[in-house]
Amino acid sequence: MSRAKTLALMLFAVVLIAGGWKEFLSPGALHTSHADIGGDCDQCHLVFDGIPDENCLSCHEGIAALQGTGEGFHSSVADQGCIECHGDHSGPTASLTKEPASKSFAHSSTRFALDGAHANMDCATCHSEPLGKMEAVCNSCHEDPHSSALGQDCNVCHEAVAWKSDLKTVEAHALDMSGKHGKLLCEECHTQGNHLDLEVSCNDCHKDGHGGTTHACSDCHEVAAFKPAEFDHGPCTCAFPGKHQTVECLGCHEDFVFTDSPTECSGCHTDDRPHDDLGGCAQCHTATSWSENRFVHNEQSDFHIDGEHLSVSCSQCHEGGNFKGAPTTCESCHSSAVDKGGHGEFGGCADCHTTEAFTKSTFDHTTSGFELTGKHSKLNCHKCHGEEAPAAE
Amino acid sequence: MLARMPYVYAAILVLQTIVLAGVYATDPPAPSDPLSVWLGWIAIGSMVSLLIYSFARRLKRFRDMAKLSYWLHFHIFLGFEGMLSALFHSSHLFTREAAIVWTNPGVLNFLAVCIVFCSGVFGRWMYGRLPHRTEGGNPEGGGLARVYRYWIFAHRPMAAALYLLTFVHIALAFMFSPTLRHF
Repeated sequence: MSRAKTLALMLFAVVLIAGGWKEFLSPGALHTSHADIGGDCDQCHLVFDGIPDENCLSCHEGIAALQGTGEGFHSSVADQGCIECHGDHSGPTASLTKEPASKSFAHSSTRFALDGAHANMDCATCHSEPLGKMEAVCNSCHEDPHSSALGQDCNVCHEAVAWKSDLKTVEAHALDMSGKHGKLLCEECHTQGNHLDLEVSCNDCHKDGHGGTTHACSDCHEVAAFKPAEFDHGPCTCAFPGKHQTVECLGCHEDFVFTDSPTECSGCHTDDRPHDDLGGCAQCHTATSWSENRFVHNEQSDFHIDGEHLSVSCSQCHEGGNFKGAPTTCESCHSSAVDKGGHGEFGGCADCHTTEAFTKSTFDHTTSGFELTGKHSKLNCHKCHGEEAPAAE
Repeated sequence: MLARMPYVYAAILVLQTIVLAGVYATDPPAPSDPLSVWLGWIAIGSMVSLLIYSFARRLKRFRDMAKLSYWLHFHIFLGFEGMLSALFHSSHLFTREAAIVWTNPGVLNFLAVCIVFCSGVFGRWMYGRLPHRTEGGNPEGGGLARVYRYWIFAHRPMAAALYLLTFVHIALAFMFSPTLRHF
């Protein structure tokens, strides 16, 4: 062998040894979970001092934490060295727990006793993660169909021996389960895992037939029975007193739609209105009584009424609900008296009559050129003017 | 009595093989298990002890104690004992999942044991087929004698390499094994 070849071979050997001599000394491949420390023997091994527990626990913080709190299986064996039960270099997927330790291990000494179907399962089925990272909760392995809405303690409803939720009774139910609810199966309502959702409402299950009212169902209905429904209109009774309080819900809330219910009289009473639209009904009517008139004629209209006019009903003047176009002259109402031969046309009625009484004339006879004196002054007009009133001259 | 020792040796080896095979077949101990470690020590002890034959060949004091052939029987027994112990000590190499790291000193050590053991068996086979003038003397005549001389020339360095590898193996085990320091 030439000198150059010898030097090259030596150089190759040096590079090889310097680059990965630890790999060459390894007794076997590490487990995949330790793969990232392959070649760095010192991370676990101390020369002439084995593998101290500290080197294991510096990475396995979960185990260290449990030992710190005295929880879990590893706390019960904290006086033993890690290597008494565990070892590596047996291959990427080989067990890290020595067989004697595996055989003597009792899962009941951990935070999670293996009951029911768990007892027959292969360790790796659950322990795909390092032990310290596992939580002693069901959803470490089982997918939570309740979207964490029920918390971590599955044992409240389930048992390890059977997943069927027999533990939760209707009596233990947070919601009122009286009436027909008590006969329901869990899955009939809890289709979406909304077991502990405090925001659960009736219409999560029941279709809202009220057009999306903002009121809670319980404002009108009881859980025990949907009917009869009662609702305290509360403040509304001030605005809607009288018969409104005894009217059927449907009388105002057509088709049980409670949203956008009218609050104006015209919203419901349009068909009842016997007259033209005069504006707000409340100008004349009250919610207590339709017939009770609170229209102040002398303030709210230009036609002043007094005397005998005060005693007549509205319809006597406002025939057919004719309020807006009601006549304001005496003759428009009192023409019958003239037609029946009271007297002829003398001009304006108010020249002789007042609203106090038709028969009591206020005509000042002096203005006619024939002053009434003596007994003439006490005569009835008809005594001189006959049945036919003379034309005014 | 000493003439019958080969039978005793054979009985020991057979019994040991049966017991160890039974143990390793039913409940194979881990490499760090005390049984496995002790088998390693027995293998080393055997390999060191069989050097006594070299002394017996050279020192009359040994030959006064027993015939050289008896020392050879003892040498062969220790060779088998070492091989057997090393085999079970290293059995995890064949049963575990991990691939063998051929550069590992333990693996090299085991290979060296196998090579030297086979070499010894081959040497003994040749030795038995060659005529001898004197007990323990070098055989004479023919091509096989020449091969035998070559074998002697090769067997000793191989044995020396075995001891060197054994030393490295033990040293590294003491340095890095988490359990060996307890033994």
